[in-house]
Amino acid sequence: MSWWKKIDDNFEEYLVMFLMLVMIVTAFAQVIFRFVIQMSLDWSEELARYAFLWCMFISAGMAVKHRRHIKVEFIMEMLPKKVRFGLEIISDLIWMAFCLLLVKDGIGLLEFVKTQVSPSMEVPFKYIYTSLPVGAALMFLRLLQQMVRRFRGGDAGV
Amino acid sequence: MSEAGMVAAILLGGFSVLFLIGVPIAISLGVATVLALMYLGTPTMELVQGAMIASDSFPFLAVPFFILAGQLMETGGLSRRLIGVAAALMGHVTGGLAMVTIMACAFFAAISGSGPATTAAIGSIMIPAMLKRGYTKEFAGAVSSSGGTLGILIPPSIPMVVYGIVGNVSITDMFLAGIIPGFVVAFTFMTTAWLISRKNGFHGTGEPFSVVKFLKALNEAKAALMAPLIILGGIYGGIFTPTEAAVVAVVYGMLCGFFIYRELKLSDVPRMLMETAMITGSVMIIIGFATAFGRLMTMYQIPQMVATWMQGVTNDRFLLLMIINVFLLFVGMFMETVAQIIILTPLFMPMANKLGIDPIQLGIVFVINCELGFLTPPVGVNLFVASNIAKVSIERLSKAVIPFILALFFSVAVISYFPEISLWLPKFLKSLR
Repeated sequence: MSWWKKIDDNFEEYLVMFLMLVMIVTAFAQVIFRFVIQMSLDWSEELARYAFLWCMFISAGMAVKHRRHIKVEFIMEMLPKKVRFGLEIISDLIWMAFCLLLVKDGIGLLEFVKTQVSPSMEVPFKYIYTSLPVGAALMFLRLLQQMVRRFRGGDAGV
Repeated sequence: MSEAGMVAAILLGGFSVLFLIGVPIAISLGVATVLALMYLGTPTMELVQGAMIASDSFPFLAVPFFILAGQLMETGGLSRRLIGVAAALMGHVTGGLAMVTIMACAFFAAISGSGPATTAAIGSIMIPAMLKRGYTKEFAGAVSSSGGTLGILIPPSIPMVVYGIVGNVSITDMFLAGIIPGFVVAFTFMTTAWLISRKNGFHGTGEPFSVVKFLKALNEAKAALMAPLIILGGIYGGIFTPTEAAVVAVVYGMLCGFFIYRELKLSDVPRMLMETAMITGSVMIIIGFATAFGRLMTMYQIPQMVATWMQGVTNDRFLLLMIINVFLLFVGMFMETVAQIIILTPLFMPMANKLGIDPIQLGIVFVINCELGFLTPPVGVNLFVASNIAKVSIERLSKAVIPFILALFFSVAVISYFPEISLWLPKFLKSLR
């Protein structure tokens, strides 16, 4: 299953790199067009912003994998190992439940904005707003993956 | 209890309990908001809607761009050239290398908007250099972690971008306002380092100051020194917005790294893009939920309640700012800087407004307190960075950094007392237009 491991290891990473490049290129093009070609782009800001939103939510999933979400850990470090293990599980379960709520409400929100399109590119909002439930689902899956690994023994992540 | 009181209790109580048991800050804010919405019987969809609207903002793109630009310039050899200039200027005085470190941090701060990144960029070169010359590990680490805090006070600055958006203050004005306080803080740091060096007999390089060497270093570093001119000059000149300036900095950093100094490799870039996305993602998700959290607080007039309550305590601007300072010093020990700004700005702003404190001065005071947060254990990120480079324990480093924390606290007191230190420059430049 090495192809699966490849996807597992790199899926968010490649996506995020691509989105970062889109953000850089469009934002820079906006500057160049205004100064060098003296023509204002009307779609560049929108595209950069939407790439950013997608990038942000995909990164949220990626940050679970790399354990980079910002937490306050010093109290945990003072507790005995068993208590700590228990609290970690509780906090991850709360986190997972919250992700499910985000998926549900995120999809609910799509229904809400289904007729709206962005002002200049006329992209339907639903393509932009899908980023949130997708990111939340990704976080949920990565947390679940860590939870499974934790109980199988061994390291709970990267 | 009144409805507003209940909402306040659920939001603040829920958030505190959750983040203390190790739930990530962003999720704690989100869950607390959901609980409050449920108590009120409002659809929880309001949370995702609020988070989405808050995150969909072009100014926020400055955050990843400035992070990436800093990384490119560090790897691309700019930091080393800036150190060369600082060394030619300050190397010969007592505690020379410590002075060089702080000055180089101040230079690097003018292209970087992050504290830990500045510590890493300068510290990774200067700490080994200081150790070689017989400085103690503790002192070398303390100087680098304190100097690194200038990263967020001297523009560009990521916390200032966030404060500007959350507090509805011009980011350009915030950047301008940070310059003079940046000098003040750099000066008090250097004085502190000088006093400690004199006491411990840390000498300078022994080579006298030479104009030729200085000019040579300047020439070597000219591409690096151009960076702040392009970034800041472009913003103040009204040529581009802070976000555009940030993307220009990214492209400029690539040009320097690939073509001028040729120290950057194409294979470095994917890692940097990923790292930048990860830092941005973990911060932006806090911003999204914190905004929804803050909106609920504002809707129930909780900041106004705090403001009224504070008015019973004091009506003096300086005293209020000092109370805010002590409070932030305490909170900063436990909370990440950007999170601190997003959560507390809406809480403090009405209070400051009532007493006529300029939001820009309040912002500068906030940012300096974030600097303190970088230096105070248990979650002082600059300490972690420096302790890794200097191979010294956090405990010992935390002790060595105390004089610098005092120096910084002294600076923030002075800057709180004299609003003009922050406000003069933006006002002056406005009067020129």
